[in-house]
Amino acid sequence: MEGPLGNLLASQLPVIVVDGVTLGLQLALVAVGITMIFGQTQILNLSHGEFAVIASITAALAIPLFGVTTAVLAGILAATVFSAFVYKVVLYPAFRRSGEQRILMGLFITLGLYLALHGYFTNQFPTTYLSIRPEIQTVELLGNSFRFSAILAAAISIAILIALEVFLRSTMIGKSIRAVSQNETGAEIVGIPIDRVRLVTFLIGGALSGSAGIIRGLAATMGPESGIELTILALLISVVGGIRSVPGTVVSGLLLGIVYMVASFLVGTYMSVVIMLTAAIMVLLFRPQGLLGELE
Amino acid sequence: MVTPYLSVKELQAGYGEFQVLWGVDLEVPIQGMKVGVIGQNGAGKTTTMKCIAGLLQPKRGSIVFKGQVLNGIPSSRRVELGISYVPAEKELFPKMTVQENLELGAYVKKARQNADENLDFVFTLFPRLKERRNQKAGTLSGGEQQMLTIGRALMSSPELLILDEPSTGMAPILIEELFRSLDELRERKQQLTIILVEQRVPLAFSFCDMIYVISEGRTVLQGRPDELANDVRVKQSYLGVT
Repeated sequence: MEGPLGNLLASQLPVIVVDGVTLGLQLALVAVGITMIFGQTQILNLSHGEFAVIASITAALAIPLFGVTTAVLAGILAATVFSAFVYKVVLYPAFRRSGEQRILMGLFITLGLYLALHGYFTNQFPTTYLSIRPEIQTVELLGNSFRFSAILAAAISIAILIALEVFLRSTMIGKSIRAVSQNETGAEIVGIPIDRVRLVTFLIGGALSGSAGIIRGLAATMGPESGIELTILALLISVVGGIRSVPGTVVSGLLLGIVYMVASFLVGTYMSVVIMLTAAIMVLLFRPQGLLGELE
Repeated sequence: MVTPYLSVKELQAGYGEFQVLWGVDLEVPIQGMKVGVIGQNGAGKTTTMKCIAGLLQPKRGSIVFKGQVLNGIPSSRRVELGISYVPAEKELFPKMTVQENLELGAYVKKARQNADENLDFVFTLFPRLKERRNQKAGTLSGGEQQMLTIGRALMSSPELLILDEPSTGMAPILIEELFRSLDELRERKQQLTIILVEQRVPLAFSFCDMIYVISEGRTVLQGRPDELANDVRVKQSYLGVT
């Protein structure tokens, strides 16, 4: 690219890429939960981003009372507990059905839940924004000045995602989660209690989405209305990554996050969404199973 | 009267509106027996086994294992009690390695402490699985997948092993190999009770101490293989003798 914009892009590129990575990882945290829950239960949770809002609002309300650390943990705990409640109570009618009926029922229930939560949050807490600002503002690396909060947000996200992958690969409960999503009958045959494994999956999904809400409050600002944006972008990322694949979801989050940030630097926020969607469509044209997904 | 090891009485079951079983009776009198179940396609053999394993809840009838009524008990509890099912459809975890599939076979508590020992046993029984331990289960051949399914079931330290048509879709030479392994299994674990569902009737007759014949969802015949081999109906329908 030539001209002043090209030069500016070249000089700013590292910073923009870091912002893209930060955004992509946050979205991956939400998307991984959506992917895991779908793999276990065939329910596409359209209210998953609202779990992040539960965490951010809880944290924002608790910070003045208990300080940042406690408030953040309380926020994530709230999202986790709520996720279990959604599994056990709200989705109960869907689990009484199977196959296509459950998929549809799951969509209706979680869409309704999104509407209810979104309405409640934007009405009751219209100005409760979570914005955590560390004392260190910038770090100098290789001649560039990066926002410390963005780097920290990315680092925490990576740590969580690596921990998740290690958990799924090496612990018995992690393996049983993968087993249930690969073959439910097989899991039942070896004696895995499906219901308990699903509950654990919802707990993990809730905790991940809650963490994403907090991390967004660190990297940018998390508002009461931000849930649906997280849900939509995370859905996009999980499809592009290959649904049921955790590493694929992370790679796809990084790809789309970087594309989005570079595009919004070049052509502005509105068009950058179009460009990101185009990138997603291109991936799916060439790899319909997603980036790291496998054909059935 | 001595309680039988396993007793299935007047079993009725099906899938939704579609009833398959109309009264299956099946009894394994004592532990360590090898019981064969034969019958034509769609007779209800697999449905009966699913009821015993807990994958399907019966509409009527009872299943009693070592004096305990199994109706309503989830499959995970039944594995804990010692019942292990080897389904005809294999139901493996395709994207996990052979080793991981076997490890998951030892999921239930009582099996975990014996996991290493059982793994060694499975690898001696099926050396091929040891060679492929790091390969994904989905990439195995049909015969190897069958070995893995049996191996996975053995990992739970079962008392009662249900083998549902283990020879389905296998080449004759592999079937021979499989039954050699099963004979070895029978030799080494004399106390292991086996229910073998088998389409290849001569195989079932030579492997088992007792045979049940299921037809159209009902038990129609039962007896020792040598008795049944002379039964006219069995000869005509299953042994291909006219």
